[in-house]
Amino acid sequence: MRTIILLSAGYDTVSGRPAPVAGEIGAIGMALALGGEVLGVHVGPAGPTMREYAGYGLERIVALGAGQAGVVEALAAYIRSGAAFDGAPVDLVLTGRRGSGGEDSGLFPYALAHALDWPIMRDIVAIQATQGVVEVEQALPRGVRRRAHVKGPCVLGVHEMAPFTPAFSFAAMRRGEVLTYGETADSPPADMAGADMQIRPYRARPRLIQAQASGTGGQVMIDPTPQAAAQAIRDHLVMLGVLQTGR
Amino acid sequence: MTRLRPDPRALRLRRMTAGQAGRVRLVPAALADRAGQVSPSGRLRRDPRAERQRLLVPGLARARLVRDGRAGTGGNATPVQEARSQVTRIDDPQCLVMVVPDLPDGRPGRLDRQVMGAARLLADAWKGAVVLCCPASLDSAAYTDFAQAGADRVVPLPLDPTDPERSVAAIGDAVARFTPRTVLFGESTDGGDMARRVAVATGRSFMGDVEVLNPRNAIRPAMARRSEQVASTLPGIMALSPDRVAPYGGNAHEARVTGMDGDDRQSPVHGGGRIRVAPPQPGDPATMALAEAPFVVSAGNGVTDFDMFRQMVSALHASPGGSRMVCDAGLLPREMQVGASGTVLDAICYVAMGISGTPQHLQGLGRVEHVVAVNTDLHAAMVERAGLSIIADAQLVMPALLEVLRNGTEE
Amino acid sequence: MAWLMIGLVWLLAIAVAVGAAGFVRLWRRGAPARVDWVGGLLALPRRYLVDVHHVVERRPGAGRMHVLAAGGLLGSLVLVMLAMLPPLGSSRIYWGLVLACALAGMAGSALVRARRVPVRPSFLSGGLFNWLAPVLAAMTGAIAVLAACQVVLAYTPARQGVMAFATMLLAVGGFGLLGLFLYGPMRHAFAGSTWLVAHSRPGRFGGGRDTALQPLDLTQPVLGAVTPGDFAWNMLSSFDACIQCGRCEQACPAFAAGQRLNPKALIQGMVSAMRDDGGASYTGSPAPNAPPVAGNGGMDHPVVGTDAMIHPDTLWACTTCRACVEECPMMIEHVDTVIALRRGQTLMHGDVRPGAAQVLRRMRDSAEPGGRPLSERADMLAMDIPVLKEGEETDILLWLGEGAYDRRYARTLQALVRLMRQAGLRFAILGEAESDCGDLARRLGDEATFQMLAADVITTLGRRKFSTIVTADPHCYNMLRNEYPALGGIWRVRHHTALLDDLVTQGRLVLAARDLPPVAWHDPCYLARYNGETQAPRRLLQAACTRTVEMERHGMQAMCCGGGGGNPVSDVDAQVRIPDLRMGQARDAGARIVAVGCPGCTAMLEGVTGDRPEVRDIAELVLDAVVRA
Repeated sequence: MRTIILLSAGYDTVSGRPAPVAGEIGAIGMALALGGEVLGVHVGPAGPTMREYAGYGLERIVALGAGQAGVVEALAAYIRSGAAFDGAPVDLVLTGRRGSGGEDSGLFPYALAHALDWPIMRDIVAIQATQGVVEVEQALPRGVRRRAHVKGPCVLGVHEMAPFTPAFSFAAMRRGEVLTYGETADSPPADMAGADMQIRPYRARPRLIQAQASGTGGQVMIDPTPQAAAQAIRDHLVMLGVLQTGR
Repeated sequence: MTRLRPDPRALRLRRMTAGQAGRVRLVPAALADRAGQVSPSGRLRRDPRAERQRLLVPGLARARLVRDGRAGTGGNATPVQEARSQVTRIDDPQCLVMVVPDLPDGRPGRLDRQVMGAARLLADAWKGAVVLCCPASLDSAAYTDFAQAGADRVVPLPLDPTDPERSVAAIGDAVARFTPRTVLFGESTDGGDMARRVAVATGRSFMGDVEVLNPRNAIRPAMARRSEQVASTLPGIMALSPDRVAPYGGNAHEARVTGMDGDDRQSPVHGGGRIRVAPPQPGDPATMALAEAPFVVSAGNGVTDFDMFRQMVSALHASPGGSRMVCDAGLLPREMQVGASGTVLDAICYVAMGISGTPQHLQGLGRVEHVVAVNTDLHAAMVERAGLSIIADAQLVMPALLEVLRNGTEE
Repeated sequence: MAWLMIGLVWLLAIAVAVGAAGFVRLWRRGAPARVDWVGGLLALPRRYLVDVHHVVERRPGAGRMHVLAAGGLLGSLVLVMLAMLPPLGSSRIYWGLVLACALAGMAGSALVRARRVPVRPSFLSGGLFNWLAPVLAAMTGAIAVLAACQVVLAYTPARQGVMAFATMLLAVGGFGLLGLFLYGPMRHAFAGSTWLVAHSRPGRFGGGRDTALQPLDLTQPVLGAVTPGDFAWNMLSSFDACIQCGRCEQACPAFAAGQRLNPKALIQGMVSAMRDDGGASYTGSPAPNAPPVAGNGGMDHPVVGTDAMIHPDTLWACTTCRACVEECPMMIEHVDTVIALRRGQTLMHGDVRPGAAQVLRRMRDSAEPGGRPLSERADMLAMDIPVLKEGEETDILLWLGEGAYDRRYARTLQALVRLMRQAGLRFAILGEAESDCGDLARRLGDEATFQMLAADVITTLGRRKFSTIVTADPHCYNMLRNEYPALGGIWRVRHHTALLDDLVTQGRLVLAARDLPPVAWHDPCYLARYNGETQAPRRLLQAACTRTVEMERHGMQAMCCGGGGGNPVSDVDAQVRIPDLRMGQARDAGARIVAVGCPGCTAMLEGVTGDRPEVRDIAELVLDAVVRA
């Protein structure tokens, strides 16, 4: 198995400091669990965040200069070129769900898959690879899971809940190699603002309410018999629809 | 005018005691509206249906925007009676707004209705029509729902739940056939995935996680949620975040079934066959990660018999959790700890057995919608937070509940 | 016959010297350490007679036992060796002195034995330790007989038989003593002396205090300690110096709570790891509930791990409260040992507990252990406090710390701010610029993250002018006051209790003691043991409340609340909770209110459920007692 992990120079959502992205850390853990050769690839200059990814056990990271080509095209060309693993083809590209610190649209993996004409799945929490077919488990909300078979090579987005967070160590961070490849004279990152696109500080807006009881207290039963209490709880749970009856 | 304005005079009037003019009854303001719901022994009774009703914008079947966290306790606006029998037809739209809903269980879900609401908003502003794409195999009731939700046209497509690439091809064909001004998806697991697939397949401009959407602009967070992108020209494909735009609540639309016939264009995208997706499987509540669990039953200091607790949790088909106290004592494993230092839940319902509710524990309840508390202390913080509170010994309630559940299954 | 015995003693001395050289060879396989040999050797008598015995005396009778046993044995042996000199060998006065020493040694050995009668207390070790009293008795007994023969039986016929018996006794005892020196408790005599000379914290002697963790050079190949060989050689000698008296075990809060840590077993684990003896030589109480380990060791074998000598849980159970260090008569640095091993685990392997890994990640990425926005730190206070911007100047910089995010602890800070306002102080906070001081990262062994956070703090503070930093968090206080200077951050730092005490003493705050139920002061470890501040809070409390009581463990002997050293985030299984134990002690002392001065203690003690004394921060109690001028 030869796996490439797409790394982004992320920013922490709370502090705004440079920081790795959770899904990409999960991708490193998943790749290490899969075994085989692993390479981290970042399109752009190698910042301090790349070192932090190395701390999660990624021994080799390539900072890819996009040159004149677009980011997606440059990366697709790099993957097709075989430069990643000494001429051997890439079997798998793992990504996070979305970046953190740029446009954060989550579109990049799809664009890459499209450019490579590879299939793509995201929100992956488990993976098994056998003979050109990758069997994955996809996480849906509230603990629901879905299995899927994907004919490799493919692009897979790792879910943030994937239980694959590798250990971080300073020694691994110190040890990891960050290499540069391609034209290092990088074009400035794509401008997110444009004629009809404006960038401004984020403003949190109220959401629509859920039909929920607010914190003013609800129905209270004081010292009921255990049976009455049990019946009341059961009825309440049935009314909420969380307790299935009849079966 | 849909925004509620409190009328201080009316509120004060309602709090006056009958007979003794001018003396204000000592009822918390939030409870004053519920005067009629007090049981003979003076206990408050909740009427969930009435509460739900209060949460809706009068006359419209959509929820109000909450601004102060005390939704549904005002209720002094006059309901607008509006007939919804008429059906609106748009025969000659100037443009089309396409919607691809998730349709969980073959019906428009909560997010689908919101996406439809957004589409309706755009279509009405542009004098256009809403085109809804759906799987070919739906019953007629679904079409009624589409009409209520505001769809002008319904296009049955050969969507394949087992192969997203085949669905993309079908949606791509529909986009090519109808050339909608924009295509809307819900930013859900599947909707968000499909939106991006269609975006790269059709080459249309894309904007996901849209938090504000109106005919003038679309806004989404970017740069680690520290900035926002504002698009003044709406992109060709958008995915709308949940609970951002209200569902459509007006007259039903026509929901006329429109075929794809006459279209001989070759699909611009991959024909599929590379991905095979199996049907979703609900997680096992006993083993799933607490952060994902929909229904959590937790034990605290008031629980001593943990065998009984586990039996009860399994009979409820819930995920077990515990307070810090219980996990510290090793009575439950650490992964089950709920709270600021444990797991923050995203459950629909939380049952707290013998947990008083320290601030740290309550932080762990996060966005839990419904809380049931069993506690001996009437003044416990958990009771305050709960929709149903049983003031009793959790140790005694557990076996009774177990019995009720077992009897219930025999019936 | 007398000459034979004197010769035997010389032989024993030579064997001991050879054995000691073996220890030195073993220790030299450790890392080099900078040692002031001249100063250390000159200070040795004072360190031993004053500093060590000051600690030894704390256990009633132990001082007497040690003076008699050690003084008697060593004195008599040295004197017998000196009998080689002709004038002494023929002096009755001299032999009388030998007899006195030997008798003292016999009395000492009886006291050693008495400690284990009728049953050995759990904190003492068995095994070779059971042979200590008989061997001491045999040695000193034989010398006593020898001396007695020289004094009174010199020319009696019975002399030959008695002397033959004494010679045999001496030979047997000598063998025993050599065995105990090489493999057992007597090792401490040489290792302990070496350690006292070459102590890693010489500042602790002579009533001084030295508690700050030393910065780690992050460019070294091995960071912290993974194998015994990674420890400095003098630390290795300190492990051999352990006499297994079990005082650390009695003081350890994690041990009391059944948390898989026994400081004594930890140090002996190091001894076993150094010698790869499988841990079989240790006969004291094990770390409670610790899962078994394979017991592999060696100077180049990892110390921590299930296939090694010390179980990882042991490492993360430590609250770094320094109670063990405070009680150790051999001045062993248990906490330094734990931190060195933690540094090895964290920095080299990234092997920390899941909860701690999450906290460390947040500290790295968000500069805040809880991952909360720095801009929201002061939100809970809901007070309009001036924010010190870059280039601005104020008198007092109020460092809020992590506790400010907590609703409960924000009340404490509110009280402190009100008091500072009433006293007319000019102060400000850092606002969004306050990032975490890195205490938790450092205690968890993540020196890299700590140094990164510290650099941020030093830069932030360097761009602002103030005369004093005041904080209500003893952990921040300790970091800023003791541990930042080594990195270049030198400021005047005060804990809020010291500030308030000054204000009251100077009359800038006038208090009227309130008639509250009995109040007990719970000394925070990082204020009392780390910084020696036990008096200011007590003066303050007495000025604010009419009735104060002391818990049995207070001041430098106070028990930890369980909140330090990353223990709460490391989630080590326990039998009881440390704060529950501490609250029980407060209850036993008759306290109805526990006065605290630390956000960690507040959170831990507030977390005790059931009927318990109320937890109030001292600032809250002072605010209640203040009389408006």
